[in-house]
Amino acid sequence: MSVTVNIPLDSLGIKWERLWEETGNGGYVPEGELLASYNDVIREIKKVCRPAFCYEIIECEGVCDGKLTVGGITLNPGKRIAGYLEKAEKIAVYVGTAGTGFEDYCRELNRSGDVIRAFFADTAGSVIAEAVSSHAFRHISDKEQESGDRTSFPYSPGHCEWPVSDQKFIFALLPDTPCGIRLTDSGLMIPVKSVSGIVGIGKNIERKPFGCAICTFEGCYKKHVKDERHPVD
Amino acid sequence: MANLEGLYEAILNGKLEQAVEVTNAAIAEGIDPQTIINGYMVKGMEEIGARFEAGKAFVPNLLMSARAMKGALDILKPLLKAENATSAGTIVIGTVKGDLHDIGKNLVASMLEGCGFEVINLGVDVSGEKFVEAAKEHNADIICMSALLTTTMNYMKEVVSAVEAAGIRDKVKIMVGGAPLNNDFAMAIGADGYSSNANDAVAMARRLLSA
Ligand code: B12
Repeated sequence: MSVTVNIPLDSLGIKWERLWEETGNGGYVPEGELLASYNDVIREIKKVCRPAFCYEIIECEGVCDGKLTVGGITLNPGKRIAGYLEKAEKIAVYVGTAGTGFEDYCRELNRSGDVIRAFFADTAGSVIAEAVSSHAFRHISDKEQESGDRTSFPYSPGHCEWPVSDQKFIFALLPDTPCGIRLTDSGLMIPVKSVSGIVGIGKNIERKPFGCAICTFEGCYKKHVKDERHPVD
Repeated sequence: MANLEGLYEAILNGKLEQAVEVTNAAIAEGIDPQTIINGYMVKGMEEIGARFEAGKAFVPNLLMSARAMKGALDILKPLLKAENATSAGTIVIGTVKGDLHDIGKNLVASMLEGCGFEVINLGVDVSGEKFVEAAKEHNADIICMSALLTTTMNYMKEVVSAVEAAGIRDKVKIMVGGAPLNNDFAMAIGADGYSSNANDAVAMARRLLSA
């Protein structure tokens, strides 16, 4: 049975004043007119943004040769991630989003030609989507730990060796349009500010590196960001 | 007398109202629009670009300057037309099919627009067919493509082929960008240029059109 959780934006723990460090603009401090616009955008976002995530916990049927079978569907996370999940008895599959209200707000800003506000909102949206992902992971981990299980770190299609196109399999394991998210033909999610992932669950599962620590994308600005929401083990 | 140094400062500091005010005063005094643009406005943009490259200015500062520049250019454009001068060039830009990452593409579009190009922003998930159609319709000088996924960056090659097949490859330059790309990739797929950020994209577009 899938679970949908709506999260008040405030409880995502986003430090709005630190947004720039997290998005490759470290050192930037909005001032004057820009600060006023930024604050306006954040105020508007607080009105329209309804973050949510949806997850389902499914028996893990097998992990072999870079593949992971759950609910009769085979995912292709690659040898490294699959190896980390070898001891998983169950897999939590989740998607999360900043929501359709946020998407509409961003689209409207872009249409209005106010490029600065649009940039602020876009940047904030990316941080919100990532924070929803972290929140979903913590929520799932806490619940499982209550019942005596351990959890792996989260892993997402598109990261490391895992093809983005596998998002269609993640969606096949969830109800239709979870949290209002739909997939394009090419396997990406709309609203854009959405994320997907899995977490391994089991008595003996260990936490292995994830996120930036296993990413091969050399040019990424995140390589320079130290943040508790992107732990690099 | 119009304070043209103030126009340079207004562009540099991203002050739209001040830029518009000085531009109007300069026009009223009959100062040649090309002198206003090349002598002061472009210099302001160049300086903010240099500060950005040096890490002393940030994306929002670039956007503020681009907005001030666009505001002043909008006033000058009708006068330029009367002189038979044209815009810096027409650009069709989009994130390629299969990809939705568009923050970077929108920044590039804003900077190009701020620097005097006509920009037609096709949005995200844009097919080769759409790029070709828009390039033909708007008589584009450059097609700009963005991709943030290693899977979708390969689609850029298909767009290049579509442009060739449409018989317009000799009329339109192709520029590409996005975090997973580099210059070697751009050359390998038959594009004319690559740049790693929105500021450099403007310089690259100018270079391609003057070549
Ligand atoms: C922010 C972000 C997101 C945001 C959304 C971004 C948006 N557009 O709204 C969120 C968090 C929602 C997100 C989600 C996902 N993302 Co994402 N995302 C990023 C991230 C961290 C930054 C992208 C960005 O906005 N950069 C800021 C802008 C300003 O920079 P830029 O885009 O590079 O643009 C500059 C230059 O490249 C250049 N440029 C860009 N375009 C052009 C064009 C031309 C012509 C020129 C000349 C120059 C140029 O100029 C720009 C301005 O200076 C990248 C990693 C990275 N560092 O790039 C991953 C990344 C692109 N995402 C990735 C993935 C996998 C995803 C997900 C599939 C993950 C998941 N399973 O949930 C989802 C998919 C979402 C969906 N809707 O389906 C992967 C892709 C890997 C791959 N296989 O190719 C990356 C590389 C992360 C990684 N390390 O693996 N993402």
